[in-house]
Amino acid sequence: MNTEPSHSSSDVTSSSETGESATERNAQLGDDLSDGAVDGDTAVDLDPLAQALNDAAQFKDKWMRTAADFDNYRKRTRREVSDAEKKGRDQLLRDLLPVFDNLERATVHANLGDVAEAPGVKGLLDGIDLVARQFRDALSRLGIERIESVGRPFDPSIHEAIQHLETAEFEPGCIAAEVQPGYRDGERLLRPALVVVAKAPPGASTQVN
Amino acid sequence: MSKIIGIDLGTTNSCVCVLEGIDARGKPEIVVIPNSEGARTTPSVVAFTDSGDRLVGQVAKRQATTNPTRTISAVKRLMGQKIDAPEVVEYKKVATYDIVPDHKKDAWVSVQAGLKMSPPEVSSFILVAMKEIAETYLGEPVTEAIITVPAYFDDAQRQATKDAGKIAGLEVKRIINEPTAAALAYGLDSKGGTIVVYDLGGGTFDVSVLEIAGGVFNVKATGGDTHLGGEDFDRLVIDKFAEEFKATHNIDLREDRMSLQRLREAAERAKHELSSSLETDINVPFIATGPKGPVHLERSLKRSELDILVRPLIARTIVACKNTLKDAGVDIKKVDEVVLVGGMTRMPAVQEAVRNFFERAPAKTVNPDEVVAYGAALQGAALGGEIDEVLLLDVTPLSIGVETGGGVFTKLIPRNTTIPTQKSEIFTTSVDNQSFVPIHVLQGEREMAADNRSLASFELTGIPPAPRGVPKIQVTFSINAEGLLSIEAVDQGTHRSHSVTVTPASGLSQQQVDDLVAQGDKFKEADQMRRSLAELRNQAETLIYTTEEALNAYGDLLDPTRAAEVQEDIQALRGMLASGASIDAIRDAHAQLENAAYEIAEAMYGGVEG
Repeated sequence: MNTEPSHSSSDVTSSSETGESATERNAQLGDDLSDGAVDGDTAVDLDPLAQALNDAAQFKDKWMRTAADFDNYRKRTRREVSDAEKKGRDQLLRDLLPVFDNLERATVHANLGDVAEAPGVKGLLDGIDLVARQFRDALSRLGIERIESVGRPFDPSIHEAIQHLETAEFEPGCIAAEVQPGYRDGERLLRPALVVVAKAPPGASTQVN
Repeated sequence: MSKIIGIDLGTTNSCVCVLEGIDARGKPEIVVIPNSEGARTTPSVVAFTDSGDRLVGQVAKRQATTNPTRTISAVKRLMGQKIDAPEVVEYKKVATYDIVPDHKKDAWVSVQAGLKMSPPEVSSFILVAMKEIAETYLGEPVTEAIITVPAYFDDAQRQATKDAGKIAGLEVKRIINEPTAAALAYGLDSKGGTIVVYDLGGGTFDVSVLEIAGGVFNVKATGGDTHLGGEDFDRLVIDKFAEEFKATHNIDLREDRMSLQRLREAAERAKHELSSSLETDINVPFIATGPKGPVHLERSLKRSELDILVRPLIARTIVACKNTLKDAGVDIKKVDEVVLVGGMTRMPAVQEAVRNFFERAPAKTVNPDEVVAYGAALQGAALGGEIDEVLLLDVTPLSIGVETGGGVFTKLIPRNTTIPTQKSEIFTTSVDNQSFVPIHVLQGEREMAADNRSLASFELTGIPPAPRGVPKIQVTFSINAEGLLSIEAVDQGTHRSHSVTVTPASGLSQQQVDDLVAQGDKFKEADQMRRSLAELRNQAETLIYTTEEALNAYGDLLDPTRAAEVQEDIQALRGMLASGASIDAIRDAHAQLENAAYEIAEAMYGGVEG
């Protein structure tokens, strides 16, 4: 790969040299013409080589420009395609994530009461748990990470606060609870985590900070 | 020369556009520039945090709940306003932050105990964000912009918007009216005629009647409702669902934040879907927990149901259209074009109502959320000489005149007068032996002086005793090309004169603006630091990726211990990125890995040649 650019760059110099000499020659040709007042058509016929060289230089120049334009176009298209791919995937995931949220909500609710004690339900719930785990695995294979929240300092670039709660259990400004998980793909935020942020209970606020 | 960008500085959202090029048929190609999160509009929200950070846009919005008193939204409602202006008094009731008077009784924003900020300064932070969005996209600095304002904005509000631009480091080449920008986006400047712009946004409804002739835009009348928008439509749907749910399950979903949030999302989604389909399903499982376990919201919604629900709101917009046409003195049959602006105009019921009322199909081919910024960018390109388009002339947005006998407002310069302009008129005394005349300069369209906005007042003294009606006082108003108004009063008997130059009665002084510009530079350093960190992280990630690829493919060309070292460098850099290490640390690790990458490349090519 590395040898190619140097190769073509030597081409550039050589072609521009021919280009220059061709135009020089043409200029002389023009001078001759005006002096001698010879018919233009015959003059061109007189030196077809100069004309051909000139044409060749021009074509080469045009070709190289087009090639460069095309190369830039190809690079941009590649970037645009990969952006579009990511965007499309993000959108698909954003639409699917609520389905997964609800599956998780189902398991949370099931573990709340004594539902799981009912005959036959246990196995069903374990199955749902497995489905949820399967989804989590699929996400991590795609490089999608779940955003950490509870106990972490609130960061609006990845968390969205939906409530401010007075509590002594967490440091003020830290996340007390997550009501809906957030996801990201590397640095790109897919969806912020919806969280409850702790604030100091009245009276306690003076000790903190 | 750098490009002139077009910015729609909205009440709820802002949008930035720029001319990207000219297509093969010679038509200008305008692009809407997405922000770093990929969104085409950015919330007009600014927040100040405990750690001294300044947040703008989506990030500011996300932390609003935890920081309500220092999260500033809808600051546009305060631009160039006095603290006792009806709009401010109204907004103060619902604003989560404190709105306080400065020493000139201007409405300012209190961002923390002992620190108030002017609305132009708050707006400037939004403009800086829009400027940076454009710079990132264009890869070059942006210094000039066109900014749009509502057609009803007066001089003080326009000046405040200009100041905001200046503080943000932008030279505001022109302030143009939002409806004018929308009309430009549809190329209506070349057609001419009477145009109605129907703008139903997130929180406000504006309707404007424009007359275009020979490329000159005249605003004939404006109207609307400053508290009617998409949010009201959503609320109706939310309330309906919540009431139904309460009736069946005896749970009010609006009392739990999470339930309300999910209900709101479902309502918005349903509203959007019903713009293209006739029926949609709303499924929100586990929305609440009742005495007998989890309960779900499950229902379908027909377009016709939604239409009936929001009919009263749409009717209000049509009444406003009717009134505005009447104010403009325009017959509905004379309207040549209706342009739709604002996301809510995607709703078929809204389009239908507009079509029925105006008896014509409205123009809606340009995205209604972006059409204003689009038009502004077109005007920017025209000013920059990039395209051959009609250049808008600056006009006075509202009439300017003086108070005369009985508190009557006498207009000297009618609105829509192209500037620069000059106008003079002779006035006289109203009582015998009056030795001075008070001159009270006002701006507005109302008949009585008290209903208009005061710009300045002064006295012309030393008038010799004379019966009333005899002295001749010539009052001359002139507005220069920059829009600066000066007034001169001359007693034609004594040739005594007095003149003043009006700076808007509310607003920032030149010194204040300059100070803020200087302050902005300080913030810029911090912002640049943050941005270069983001860029470096990006580069580092790419380097990790490419080096790993190279290592996998050509690693066997390297000495095994060296390969292991490179692998370690990769891990070290990756660890730093994950832990949020300092910019210097990342830069060093990046440089080290870069050297390793070169080594691999050398080995690769050495291998090829050898």
